[in-house]
Amino acid sequence: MRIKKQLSMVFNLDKCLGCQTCTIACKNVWTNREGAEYMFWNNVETKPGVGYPREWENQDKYRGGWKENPGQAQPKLNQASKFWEMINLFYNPVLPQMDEYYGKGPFTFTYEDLHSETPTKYSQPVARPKSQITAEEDIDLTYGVNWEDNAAGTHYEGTGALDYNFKDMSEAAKKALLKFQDSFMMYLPRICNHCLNPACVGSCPSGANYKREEDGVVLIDQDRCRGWRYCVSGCPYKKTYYNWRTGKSEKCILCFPRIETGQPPMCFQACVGRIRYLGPILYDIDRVAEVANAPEDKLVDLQREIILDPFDPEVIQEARRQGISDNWMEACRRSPVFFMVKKWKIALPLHPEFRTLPSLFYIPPESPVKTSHVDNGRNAMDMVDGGTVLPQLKEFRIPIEYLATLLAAGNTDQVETALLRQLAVREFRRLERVEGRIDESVLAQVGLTIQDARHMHRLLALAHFHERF
Amino acid sequence: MNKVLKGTKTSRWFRELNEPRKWEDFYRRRWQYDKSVRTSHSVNCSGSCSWEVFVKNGMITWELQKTDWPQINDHTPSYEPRGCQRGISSSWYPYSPVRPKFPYVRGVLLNYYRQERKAGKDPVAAWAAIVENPEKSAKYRNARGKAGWRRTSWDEAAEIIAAAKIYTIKQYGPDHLASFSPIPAMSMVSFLSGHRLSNLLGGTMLSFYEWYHDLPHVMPMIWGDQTDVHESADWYQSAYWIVMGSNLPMTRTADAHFASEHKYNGGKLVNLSPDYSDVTKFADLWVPVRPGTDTAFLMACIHVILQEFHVDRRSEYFLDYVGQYTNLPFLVILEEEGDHYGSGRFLRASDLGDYSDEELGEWKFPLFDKNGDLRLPGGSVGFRWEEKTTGRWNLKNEDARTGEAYEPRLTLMDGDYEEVQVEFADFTHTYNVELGTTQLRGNKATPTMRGVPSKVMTLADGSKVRVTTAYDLLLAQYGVRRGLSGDGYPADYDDAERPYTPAWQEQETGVDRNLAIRVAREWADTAEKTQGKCLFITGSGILHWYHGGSLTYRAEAVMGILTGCQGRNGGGFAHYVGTEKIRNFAAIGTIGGAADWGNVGRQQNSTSFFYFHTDQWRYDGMSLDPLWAPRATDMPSRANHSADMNAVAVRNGWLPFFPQFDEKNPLDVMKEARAEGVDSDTAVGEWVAKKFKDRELKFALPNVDAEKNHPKVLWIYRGNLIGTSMRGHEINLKHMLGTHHNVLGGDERAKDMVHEIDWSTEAPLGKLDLIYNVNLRMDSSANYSDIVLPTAHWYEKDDVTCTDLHSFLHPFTPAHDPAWECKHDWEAFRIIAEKISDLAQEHLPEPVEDLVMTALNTDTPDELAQPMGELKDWWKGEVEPVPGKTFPNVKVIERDYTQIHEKYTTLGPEVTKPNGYGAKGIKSDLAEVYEQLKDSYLVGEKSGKPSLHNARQVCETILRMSPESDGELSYQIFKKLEKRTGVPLAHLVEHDREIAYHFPDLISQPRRSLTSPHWSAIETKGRTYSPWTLNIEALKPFHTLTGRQEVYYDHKMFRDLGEDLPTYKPPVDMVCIGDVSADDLKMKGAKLFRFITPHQKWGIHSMFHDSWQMMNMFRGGPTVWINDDDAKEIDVEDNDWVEIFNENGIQVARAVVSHTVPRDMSIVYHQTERHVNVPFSSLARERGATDLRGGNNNATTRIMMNPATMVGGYANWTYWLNYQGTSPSERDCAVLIRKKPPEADGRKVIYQEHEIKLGKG
Repeated sequence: MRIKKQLSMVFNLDKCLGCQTCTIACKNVWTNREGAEYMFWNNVETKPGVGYPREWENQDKYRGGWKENPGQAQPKLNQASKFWEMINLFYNPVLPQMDEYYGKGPFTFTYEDLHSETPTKYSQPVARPKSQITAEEDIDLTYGVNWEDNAAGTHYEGTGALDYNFKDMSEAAKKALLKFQDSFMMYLPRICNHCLNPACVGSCPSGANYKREEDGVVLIDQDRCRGWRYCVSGCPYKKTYYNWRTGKSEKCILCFPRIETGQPPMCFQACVGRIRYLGPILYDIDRVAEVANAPEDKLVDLQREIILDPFDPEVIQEARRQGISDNWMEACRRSPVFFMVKKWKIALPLHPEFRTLPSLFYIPPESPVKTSHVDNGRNAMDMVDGGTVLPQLKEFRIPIEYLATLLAAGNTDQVETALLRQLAVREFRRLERVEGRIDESVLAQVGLTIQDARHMHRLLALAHFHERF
Repeated sequence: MNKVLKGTKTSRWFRELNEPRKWEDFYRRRWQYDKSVRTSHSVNCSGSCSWEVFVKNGMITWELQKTDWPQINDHTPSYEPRGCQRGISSSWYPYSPVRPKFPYVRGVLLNYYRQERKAGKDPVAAWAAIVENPEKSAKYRNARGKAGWRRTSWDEAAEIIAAAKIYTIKQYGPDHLASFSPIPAMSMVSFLSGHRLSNLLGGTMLSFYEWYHDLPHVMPMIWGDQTDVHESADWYQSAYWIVMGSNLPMTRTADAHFASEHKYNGGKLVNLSPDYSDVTKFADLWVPVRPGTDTAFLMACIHVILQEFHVDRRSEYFLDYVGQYTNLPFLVILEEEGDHYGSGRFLRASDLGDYSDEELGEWKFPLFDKNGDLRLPGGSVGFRWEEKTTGRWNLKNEDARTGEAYEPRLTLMDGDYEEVQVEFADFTHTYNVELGTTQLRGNKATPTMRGVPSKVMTLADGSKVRVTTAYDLLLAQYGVRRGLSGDGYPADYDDAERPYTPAWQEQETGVDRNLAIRVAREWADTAEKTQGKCLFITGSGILHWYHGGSLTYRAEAVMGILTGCQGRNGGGFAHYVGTEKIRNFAAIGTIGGAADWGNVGRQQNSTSFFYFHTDQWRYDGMSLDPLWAPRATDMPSRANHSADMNAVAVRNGWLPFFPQFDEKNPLDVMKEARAEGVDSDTAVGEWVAKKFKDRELKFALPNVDAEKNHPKVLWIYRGNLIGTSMRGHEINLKHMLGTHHNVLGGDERAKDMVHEIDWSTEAPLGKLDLIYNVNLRMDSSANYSDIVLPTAHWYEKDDVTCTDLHSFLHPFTPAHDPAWECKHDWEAFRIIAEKISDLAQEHLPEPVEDLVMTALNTDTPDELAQPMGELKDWWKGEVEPVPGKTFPNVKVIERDYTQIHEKYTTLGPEVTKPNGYGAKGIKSDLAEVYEQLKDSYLVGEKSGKPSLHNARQVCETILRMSPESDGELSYQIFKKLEKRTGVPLAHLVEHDREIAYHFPDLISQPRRSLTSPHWSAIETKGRTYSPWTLNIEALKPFHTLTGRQEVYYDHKMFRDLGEDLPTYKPPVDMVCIGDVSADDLKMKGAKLFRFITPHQKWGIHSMFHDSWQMMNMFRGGPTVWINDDDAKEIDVEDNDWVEIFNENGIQVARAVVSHTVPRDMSIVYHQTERHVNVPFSSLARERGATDLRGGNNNATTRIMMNPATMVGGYANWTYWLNYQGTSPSERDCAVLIRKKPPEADGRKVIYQEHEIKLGKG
């Protein structure tokens, strides 16, 4: 066992507001400069939708990430083969083009028109759209980092039907979910996953990409980068970007200059939905390759397995032997990520089937209960089922299958456990506050104790600044 | 890549520690900064967030939320990090290309002015020469909004402004000046500046709160306060939320985390919303009601709650609460109408012989106790305004005469009673909920009969009246079955014919009856078990409807009241629109109103002001017929159009209106009075009233379009009046500003409907002589102004901010000095004040007397002006005109225009007089504080008075003057109040007496406001702020008629409107009243939509919605959301350009096609303004409009005023700025949408004038 330290993250999708405060916090500090206009190290997408860049999840299109390599010790890169590499050395066909990020580039406007000394004749002057990259004016705006905000344009005939997470659904089911009556919507905030098995590092011909020994942050060395852009195509999350001004690729750095001074990354501190948690975990790096190459249905469990329990005396002893300080161990024991991912199993990795072993985990969101059509008016609705004040798992509008495709390589059990445990904590608190009784049984059914429930409530609801980071 | 892959298997991703990673400094250097400051933003968003702004090399670089909010208690999530996507993008603005950096005057005007000055005229004469020349005058007005800017100096700009004001004061009177700046709480000092100047001049101070339609009309009506709501941390205490009309994540971004957190705390979230909105995402249950029908759903919920929790089973908690804290046990006189009855006014102490010796007996209300004996409780408005207090203004269940405890009887069915049939009004079919299907101009309401228990009583004069309780009427109104007869009672919940059953609501809302039943039961059950921890979170999505503030909000409030939720932590009615709560209320009112110098302000409700002065009244084709109850006789005969009703309201002192006299300068009128030998102030009032009675003086309103009755100078700062809040924007451009417009319809929709206003005057084009704007963006208000003065960005200012959504006070502090020639608003208006004082030396050297006519005012004894809730119109000879009673207040104010600057910059001594200081009728004095301020190193002295020369001095002064930031002051005012209430109150702040916040304290960390006699919550000992907890727990009455929560409104206006009890009225069908032309309805490829304009995600109104960051967060300009099936019908695909139009104007936007929007509804998130990415309209060219560009989202809206908001002179229904008054209600709007035809050259759109080929599509 070789123990490595990793700064790890949880985003609670139930709490995400889709507000993009994180996006701007990051943008202002890191990518508000020439060459980086279209870079969004942090972005938030609405689901259903195809995201930024368009259809990033579709690896048939982009060939990012890894694929299972049966019988071998490690998975292989989706884009890598000797032949493929040879023919594509100078032209990489699976790189997203500007059009897939932004029509003619991120836009600005001709604000100077508003202050003009020249009078107009027929109407007030306006600032006209202009490309930040080409400076072309009066351009058509056709796509952008959050073009599908709140399911904009994602109806059945729109981009929604291209959402990768519908892939295992029938056309009829998909169509229903993209009509008013059965609609649903959720947000997916995304930064670099600082993966344990990063495909960007694996793809870089120049050895510029690396994980930091001390915290697992994945970086692209700006001195070594030669702009091959294989990290761009290699990352299945499309979280590395090519800077057209410097000719190098860049990506989220987890605000390491802030982390090094004891502050959470910008997007974490700025998260006004308080959805973000940051904490260290320990993992066994000897098993990374094996886990990344495991069958799909085992991926989530195995990834949890290689996260080590910082309360386990053996782990403590071994970590100490390997030179991990007591302070680190203490931090790992306070880490909200450890509890959410490993102990309570309420947080799941995004598309584990990409096999990069992300260090960012998501708590799946609840959603309004389904309602049925009643034939007495255009929007008439009634409950499908129910009877309890708080919703039941089967009533949620977002199909479990959809969430499972997104967060568990299709494994619905994983999503169900995560949702049931959230519901149990809610029910426990409701009984306590409304009915005035402590009811352990609602917790026991889903494998939680009162202590777990109190702790979950604390972290999910109260969670002050220093508890989240 | 193979090289890397070939690394050692276990650590191939890592670079060994000994390998140099110096390059990482590249990012470290980018993060470095030199200093940071604590500050905030001043936008109308209720955020009041604390931000850290970083400075590097002397430049503002970026911002991040401060996370050091003090924790309120251990069991509530904290406020960090407070701040949203918009706030975090504002560091773009200080150096942005959209910012005016110097004073600008439009070239046309500046040239004229300089010519006149060069010709040797003094500034005032120069101004006169321009505005009195018709040709020049029209020319510079028509240039408004069309660029052509010239840079000028502060000195020259201030000179033109001062000249225009002096000219106007002399020529027309100070009431022809008007100032507009919204929302003091967002930056108090900046707010105070322009209004203080205006009030010192005698100008008209325009309201913003109800003009923005942010005023929840039910708040003053039910609780007698402008607005008082929960801080968001209090939501967490709740166990059940209904969120409606408030899209929390979008508009309450910084507070929305409590939604999820409250769920983890065991709560449930129900969301009423026509579309799958951001907050729907957080809901456990989504109830997609048809737009505008939310009231129907709630009426059914209340029906179920009353049936199951009040009647079938009597919840002790609910009934005790209702008995003590509402007006429902009070007795209502039933008016005989043939074989049946109708609801009447409350029975008064003055009606009964037993109570004939009670002072103000017309304002004290008897009820029956549990045994059926008559009791006179204390607490009503009569006890409040006793000349010499008897200390009985409290909510004890105690007979005010005997001191005996009693329990109130809610229903007469608990004793002997006689059943009679009472007529109620059913408005279900007045307009069809399907837009465009209503016949004529709407239908009249239908009567419905229900049995009510009653009793006959003998009055003092020996006559007999039949009475019932308001509670009995309420149960009958809701059709609650309890064995009484009457065809109007439903058989059961499934009876769809009779309102307000669950089955009935189904037809209106489109939502299944079972959902209403279920929500009702869950709500009431939770409220009963938790003693009121059920919460409505609501906002503009409801409020902005025509009946939103009066009826939908009322249904929410009443549902909370009937289940004992008001005045409980985590329960009740919580409305969030506008940053309305100025915690330092008394200080702001005093400084802003110049009350420290004895000024009485010309307070004007903006909605009426702009309805008339932009001539929108001429475009109002709505008859009030569908609003009246079938039995209404009085009010409909007085006025049957909003314009007429407003005129009636003004002359009877209900609402203000300025300019005040028909074609007369109030300074001249006052001179006349003196010339006629009128000496005392009272005599002046009598003289004025007589002149009016004799028709020798008239109000300006009935002759509003006459040239001398126009407002002449308007200044706007800290807000975007012209772009953002001007409903009927295009109509305004045409008539008030006199420039280009794309109004499609004619101006005669109201012709033949209006009788109180003189139609003969032609609709003027261009009323304002001067409009100037202090701004940090070249937005619409700047663009359409004649002069633009550059203001400091929020990161360059000292100021204080607060909100209703948290309970803290915190500061703005400058990251650097204002850049270029920008100045703090306080300084900008100080410069203008100085210029005015200079010019006055020559033009107004002597003090003059100004005759100020104000409406009857709330929280003053004016509340007792018009007893019995009846209108007696002096104009019609029904009573004598008596100022302050049946007629507006008349006050004489001396103004010395040479002293304006001196007064602006010092705190006047009026506040040291007994009762010279306070708010909401709760007064004290500041004698001690006044002396302390002069000694303060932060404030200091000027001419023997505390100095208000600079902004920081004002910040400190505000804090020192406020009971919310000075515990001893709070204690002293409470002590005084105790004498009137006779119940202890000061003990609530005993704990706080040592606390006094100074401005530097706020800079070190936000400070929590203290429990205050001017507010209604007990905040001490870590309690989150929930309104009315002070009233409920400490028994201080509400500032209302009965002192209780008013559920039954007994004023005649409400009875005639059928709104004496909560009711449902459908949304207005704006097609049938002419806002969509019949010809256009037939247009091929166009479809009719309900036009909804909720608050948006990428801006706060128009602010931020022009920064490239926010623009890139979505689609970069105006968009309209429509359903995919609707889009198909008009051949529109996602991102196509469309034209949205009706008779009022045209907007051009791109379609956002989404299945989350219901059919027949279009959403334009406001305010997308017009200055970014708005192309030319094809339709405007087809129709030959003078404005060829698409308008903003107010192009199609129009001000529509509800008569229910015009009542005055009656207890809590009495006017005060931002407390009462009309609202524009733009939500019922109807539009047509069509795909925009391509340009001649095949392009989708064009933006630039040189590309226009006139007359082509």
